[in-house]
Amino acid sequence: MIPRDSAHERVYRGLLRLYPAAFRMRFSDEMVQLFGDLLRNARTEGAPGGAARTWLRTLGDLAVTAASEHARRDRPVAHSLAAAPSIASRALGLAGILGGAVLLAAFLVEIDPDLNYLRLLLFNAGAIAIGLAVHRLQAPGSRRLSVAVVAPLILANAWYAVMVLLPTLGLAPFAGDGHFVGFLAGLAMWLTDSAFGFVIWRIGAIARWVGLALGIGSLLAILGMDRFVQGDFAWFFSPVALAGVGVNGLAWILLGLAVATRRRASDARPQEIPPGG
Amino acid sequence: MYVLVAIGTEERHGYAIMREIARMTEGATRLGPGGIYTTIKRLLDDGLIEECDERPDPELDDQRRRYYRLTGAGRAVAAAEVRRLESLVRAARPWALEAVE
Repeated sequence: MIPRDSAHERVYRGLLRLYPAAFRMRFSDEMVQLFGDLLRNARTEGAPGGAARTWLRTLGDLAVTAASEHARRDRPVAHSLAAAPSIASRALGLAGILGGAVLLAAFLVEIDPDLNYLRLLLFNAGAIAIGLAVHRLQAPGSRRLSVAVVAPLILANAWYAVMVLLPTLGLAPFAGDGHFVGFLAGLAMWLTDSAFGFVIWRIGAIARWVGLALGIGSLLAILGMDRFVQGDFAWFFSPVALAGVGVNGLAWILLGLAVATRRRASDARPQEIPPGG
Repeated sequence: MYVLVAIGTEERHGYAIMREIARMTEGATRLGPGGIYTTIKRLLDDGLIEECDERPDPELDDQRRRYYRLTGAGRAVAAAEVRRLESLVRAARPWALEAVE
């Protein structure tokens, strides 16, 4: 027999949304039932304010454990129970490293202008690869959140890559508006890169402080777009934007490293030891 | 460790584990639902406990209850921790209690 939730239990069930989705789906029924047991026990004991004390203790417990569960969710598992990164993770991570490296390379070596499109395409491919890698990691916990964050990143980088590629193919579908559409694509790319970085930082996914750097660096990089650096304040915007682009490139490299080296949970369990063993 | 010891040789659900921890620590440690189930999740992930297949009789108990028991690895970890604590207590006993009395 499964009794209906009381009003207290319904409120507590609502508060369980503070836990990661996967944890909630697995344990919410049991936690609500345990909370109900605690309330019934408090009433049975008849101590004044028993239900209020139960609520207070439970709210404190919820605040601490929900936060820790979010922090723990994406932490790499213990090496004793972890397997080497998958081939897909390594490939996506390497693509991210390559994308960041070619972006940073522009600071160090002169690149043939005719090959600039290749550099940008690799950069976009790296960002898309990291987006896919993070989605693979996050989707089991919260698929909708993961898609909501990663899909704009991938679409904006793909859009920018198309805008880079079209002129090399001799195509100009936007006629006189091409420059403006390109500007929008670049703006969308930097903004979604930034949002992606801030979300990585916020939810504690892989290398969270690198996520913060990506978020800030990408925002600063916007200042380097044509419409900003051609004004009176170019002396300020240009170096700040260059620093932002550098931080962005470095962040993709570090995220790529984190993805490529991240150990994953193994299906193997510790060997069973018989009772008394 | 508290949860491992509280389960012991029994099959226990979350509320029973919580009560057993409060009993064996004489009320000094009281875990809430979050504390209990985040720990249970970690122990399940590490293979130290497992969920029992059998559910309670619906006439006798709430079917939402899930029962947990130690695995062989869980018993081994509990035994190793007990040995570690015993050696620690042995080393500290000659002087630690005198120091505060």
